[in-house]
Amino acid sequence: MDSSSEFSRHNRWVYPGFLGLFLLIGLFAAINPPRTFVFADSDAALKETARRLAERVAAIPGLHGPLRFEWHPQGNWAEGEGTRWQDSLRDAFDRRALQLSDEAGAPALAVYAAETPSEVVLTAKTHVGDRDEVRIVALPRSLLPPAELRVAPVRLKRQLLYESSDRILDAAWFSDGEETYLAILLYKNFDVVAVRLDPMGQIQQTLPLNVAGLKPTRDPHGELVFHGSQSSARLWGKTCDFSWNSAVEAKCRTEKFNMPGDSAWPADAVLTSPCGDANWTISDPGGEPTARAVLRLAPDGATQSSSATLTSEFPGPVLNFSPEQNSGGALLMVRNLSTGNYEVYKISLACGD
Amino acid sequence: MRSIKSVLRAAISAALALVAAAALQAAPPRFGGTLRVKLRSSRISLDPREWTPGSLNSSDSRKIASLVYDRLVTLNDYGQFQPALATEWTHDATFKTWHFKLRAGVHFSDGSALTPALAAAALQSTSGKNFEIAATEAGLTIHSLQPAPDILEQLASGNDFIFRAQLDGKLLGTGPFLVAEAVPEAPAEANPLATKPARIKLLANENCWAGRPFVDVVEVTLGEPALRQLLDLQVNRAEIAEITPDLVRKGREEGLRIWNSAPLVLVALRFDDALAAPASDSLHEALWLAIDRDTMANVLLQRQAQLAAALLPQWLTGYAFLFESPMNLPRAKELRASFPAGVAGAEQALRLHVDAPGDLFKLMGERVAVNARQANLLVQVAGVGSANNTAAPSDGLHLFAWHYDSLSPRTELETLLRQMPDGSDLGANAADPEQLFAQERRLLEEHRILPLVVLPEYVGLRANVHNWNGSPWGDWRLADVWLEAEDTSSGKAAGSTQKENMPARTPGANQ
Amino acid sequence: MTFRTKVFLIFLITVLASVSLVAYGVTHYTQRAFEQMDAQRTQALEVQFKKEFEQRGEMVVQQVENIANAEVTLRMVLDLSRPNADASLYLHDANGAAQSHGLDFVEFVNSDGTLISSAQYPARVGYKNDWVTASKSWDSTGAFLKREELPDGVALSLTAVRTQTVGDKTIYIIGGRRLDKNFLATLELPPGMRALLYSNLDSSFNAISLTDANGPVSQGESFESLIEQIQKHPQDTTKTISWNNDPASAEAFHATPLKGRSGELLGVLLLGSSARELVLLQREILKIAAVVALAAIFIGLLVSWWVSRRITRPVEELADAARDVASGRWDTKIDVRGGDEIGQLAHAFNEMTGTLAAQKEKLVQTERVAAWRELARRLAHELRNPLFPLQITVENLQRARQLGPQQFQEVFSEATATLKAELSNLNTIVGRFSDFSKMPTPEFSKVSVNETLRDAIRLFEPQFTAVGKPPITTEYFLNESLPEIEADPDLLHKAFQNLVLNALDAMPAGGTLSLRSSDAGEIVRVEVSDTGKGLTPEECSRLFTPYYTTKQQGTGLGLAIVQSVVSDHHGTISVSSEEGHGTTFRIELPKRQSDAALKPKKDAPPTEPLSERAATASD
Repeated sequence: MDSSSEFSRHNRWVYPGFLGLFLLIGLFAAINPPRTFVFADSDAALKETARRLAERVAAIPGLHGPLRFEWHPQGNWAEGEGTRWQDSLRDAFDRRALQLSDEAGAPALAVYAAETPSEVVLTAKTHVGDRDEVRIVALPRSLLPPAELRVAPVRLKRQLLYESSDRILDAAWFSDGEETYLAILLYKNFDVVAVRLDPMGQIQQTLPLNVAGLKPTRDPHGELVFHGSQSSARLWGKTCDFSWNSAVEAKCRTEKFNMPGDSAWPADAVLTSPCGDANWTISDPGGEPTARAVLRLAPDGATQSSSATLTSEFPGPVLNFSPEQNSGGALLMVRNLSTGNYEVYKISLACGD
Repeated sequence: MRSIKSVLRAAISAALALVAAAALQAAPPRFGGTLRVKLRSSRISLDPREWTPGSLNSSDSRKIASLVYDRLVTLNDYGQFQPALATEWTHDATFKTWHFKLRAGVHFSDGSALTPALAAAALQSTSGKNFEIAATEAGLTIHSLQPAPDILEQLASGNDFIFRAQLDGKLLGTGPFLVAEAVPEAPAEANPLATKPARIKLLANENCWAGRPFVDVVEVTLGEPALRQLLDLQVNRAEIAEITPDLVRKGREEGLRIWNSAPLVLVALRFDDALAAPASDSLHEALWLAIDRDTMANVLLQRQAQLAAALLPQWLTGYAFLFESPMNLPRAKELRASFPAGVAGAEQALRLHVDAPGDLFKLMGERVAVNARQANLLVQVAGVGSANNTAAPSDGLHLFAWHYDSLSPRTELETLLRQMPDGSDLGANAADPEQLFAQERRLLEEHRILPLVVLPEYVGLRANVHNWNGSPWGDWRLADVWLEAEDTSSGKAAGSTQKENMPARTPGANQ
Repeated sequence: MTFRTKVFLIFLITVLASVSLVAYGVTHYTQRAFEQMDAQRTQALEVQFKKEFEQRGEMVVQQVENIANAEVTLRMVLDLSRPNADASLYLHDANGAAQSHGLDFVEFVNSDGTLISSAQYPARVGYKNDWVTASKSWDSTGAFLKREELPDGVALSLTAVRTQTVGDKTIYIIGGRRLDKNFLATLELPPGMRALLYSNLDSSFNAISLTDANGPVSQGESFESLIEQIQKHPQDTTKTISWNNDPASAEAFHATPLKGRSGELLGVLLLGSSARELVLLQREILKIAAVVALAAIFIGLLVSWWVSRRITRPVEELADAARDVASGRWDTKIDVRGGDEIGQLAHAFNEMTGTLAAQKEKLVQTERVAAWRELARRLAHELRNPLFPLQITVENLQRARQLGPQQFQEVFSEATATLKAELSNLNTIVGRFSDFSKMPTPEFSKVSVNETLRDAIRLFEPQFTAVGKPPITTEYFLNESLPEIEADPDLLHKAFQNLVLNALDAMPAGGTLSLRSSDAGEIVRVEVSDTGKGLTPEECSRLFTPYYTTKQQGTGLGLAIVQSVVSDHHGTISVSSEEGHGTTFRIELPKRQSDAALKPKKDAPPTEPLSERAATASD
């Protein structure tokens, strides 16, 4: 019973704070049922709650089926959790002989799920005659398994990786199999230069591409692409293949590369939260190229975007965005309006405040 | 018995968390350092018996008191009640009688042991007459006249700390910190025993049953103006400071790390009792329909607040979304047109007293007046234009701020009502959310209290504050916070290294 | 009223009139000058206010333009031009702009008229300001007056609106400065003037809305009627307000309505000029006038005294001298000073008195000679009558010595008897002259004139009816109610006796003697008339000369005695006669003798002028 006392803050230096909490949750959930509601499993509690709600709804005078069932889950619930609830509720309504239908014209029976600090509150709302009928039931949250609980607090981490007075066209991580490097494509003195930085941020290599026949442009853009040991720089009108290891000059060919205009913001601008499975979508900061960009991240499917949104303001407009492969982070190329320099930031999500 | 599924799920989540944490945070927690906390309240009391329900001031007091005193149980962020000074609890089928087993081997800061009698006395003094609390051999029995299924929520929040009152009036706690120094704001007033300090210094309780806290010292400075607190954070004069909602955006723009709680402060209007004449019912309703809560929350409070249509917030009840913000200006004007002569607000301005401190609340009061004017209702913010408060205090409207103290919606609503002039009571069986909803709806339909917005608490954190895990309901949990060593202050770093090496105590180590 | 008084009064009136005239003129013209100056001052102040107003308006416009062109504003417009822009970000921007640009009021209004940010009334954010979007020409519009809603009331503002457009997005920047006591404090006012501002923001008069440079005006309610007048008819108006009973406290206010963009009356500028200086100056003038008048009166006194002395003294001297002449000092001379008219007059007077004196001397000598001649003639006449018988008798005696003793004895005894009789006669004549010379001084007592008259008649009554004599009838016309007068009864009796005797003598052939007494005011008149042969005018004029007589027997002293008595009683005697019809003597006596007359001086002049043909009694 007293197993919680085996925890001490002393141990926690091994685990960061949230971990301790998670473990606490897990172990308490497993070992120490806090209330005397005893169910065979968490589904039992869920089903019992659904049953109670159905019972109350069924008791609403003048309520006739068929009803169109609407489900409004708590914003940060995982999908599986919602499905279980829906199934249980539909089942419970069935048992109460409340006919449910998917017809658009049928009167709605909306069920809302909400979490309070200690409970899950289910609210059924329907319209009978000229009045709204509301039925509410609650069950202790502790009776539900922790996996279905909302994600832990997330914050946006931001790190400046590189800064240059030259226009940064693109930046990307690449690996030579041993080390991971940061490659940067610069537009310097009307030529394109590739730069390689080691993980410590030291410049390892500066590789002028000497692109023959590259038309000077006021709107330079480019993209780094890696295929094994081969690197490519896709530029306006030209694509150059080069290698960091060989002294061979870059081979450039005429190949039109279309940088889509304003819709350059990738649809997969998504960061995965390390504190849960949730994906956070980074919305296009947009705006004028003369304004500071504010990056907004919202969890996928978030209904209360305003409270859950993470924001970060950059010192200038975001010129390019390069997601990391595992969505763990992303590189942002930003023009710093204060210094006029171009900067490369890494953004990622971190748990806890 | 729990299902295998849930155990598995717990294990998986724990493992996931472990992996993620290890990847993210390589540095181990550090013992030592001084945590400087700035609070806006100019005076706080560490005696829970002195706290005023709903007051912003008392909520600051509670934050600091929770460092000194413990509760029987706490609630974690995942809805689970955690054993604190009570290790086990049971109740009867009616939820009227609850048995709590007290943790053994817990000592007050002066070394005296925590006994069931002391705990019972402390709880009895804070929880009022709703409960009869009796000490048993190993714990407490709490008997409630009404079914109290929410007693754990009550005990995990509000004023229900366990303390021991000394003969000199000072209170001793079992919490992670000890009061080392309380520098009063002014020379002792009428009651010299009252602790109303301007600066409070707390030292880590080395012998805390739950283990020594990470930081050595918590220095609380009171009465810091809002902007000053923000600057203190920026110039490294504070680790933790309260941020007013109007400064949140500025703070964030300046790269400050700002945490927020769930909306904890209700800003609402209430009518004075004397206005409860039938004629004023339509006045109440007209005002209720005239107020534009949306702009209040999203523009005046710059999206740092949420509009409130209910007395209790959604995060606490789960059903608040059912109440709709009822703005309906044409209907308000219609009602206004039907006013009989002589009703305040028609020919004669209704005086709005802003009972909460600060410019923000005054601004909201002015907004109420502006909104009201759209419906041809005359509302004048008292104390702004005219210094003379000739009108009787009973002829007005009050804008007040209410801090949600309790985790039990029923208790919160009851307390809120008890503080209102007419002090009505909730009916029995209000622990059932549906009943509570019905009660609240009735109250709202009476239009005696008109909720406007709910505000979260915002806390600015310096970058070196780690493991901050404030609860949505405003518990700061500072015992778990640790401070990153400062490169600049080598002396502090050296001092804290020593602490780091100290073996931390495990609960019950003294046994 | 003496000439001196007249001169003095004339002088005084002249001085007073001229001083008053001057004082009035000065006061009047000062007042007019002051009023003119006042009007000019007010006008200048009004011009100054308008200039100040315009300058202030330009300043406000400049400041609003600065805000409009500030980087933050441009950025705001840029940000707001984006779809779904969050205007709440700019909630506090107006406050910052107001502080950094020194404006009291700043508001940012979105292109649809929605208030984005307000420095003065943040609670109004989100509401529409349609008046801003209604105008398209803000950037060319100057500052104007505006009623500014504030949480604690309303204020008067000098407002300007500018727009800032980036791309298609336009926002309005409204900035203003409060028109209040601080604004008034910047007006430089001449002493005695003050500028007041009434913010016409309430429906009715509100004394608190009236401020001067120091804040709300005390006794502001005194302006109610003026303000209300302007509220009804918004045009320049002037009104004087008295603060208390002292006219110096009065202040003239020139009120100019201040109007907003659509002509609504938003405020009233009151330029007040105190009447204090004017009133004080007027008082000063009056004070000086009073002092001048007093001095003039004093000087007038001196001058008139001196002038009258210069003019009237010689005249008075002349009068005195004339009076002296009248009283008989014919040789009176006065000093002749200068050759002016007075001097000439004095000179002529002196010549006249000189001539008079010489003539009088001649007359007196003539009279005296005549009197002596008359006396000598009378004496000779009186004495010759007894002397002749004496001479005869003595010659008879001498011749008788040749006669016998017997015869001689006879002659002798007859002669002695005759001598004796004639000597006695001589003695009587001498006694009569002696009596006249010894006329006593009257002793006054209460006397009944009628009684005395009757007493005098009674003595002669036997002679009226004496046998052998022609009868004389007596007629009395006496006023019995005549009062007693102060007189010497014996002398009066003697005088009446002489008159009666005179009348009897005048009627040897009988006739009627009429006695008449009457009351004539201060005097009593007594008339004694006879029906004798009357007197020639020549006789009348000589009648009272002593020793003059028309009778064969008589010393000629009777009427002289009468005149002497009347004169001693300060009365007059006159005679009227017609030849052949009788003579009337009229005596007029004063009822009361003056104190001086009670001890009458011999040389006292008669108080009444002589009537025609009436001789004045004289010594």
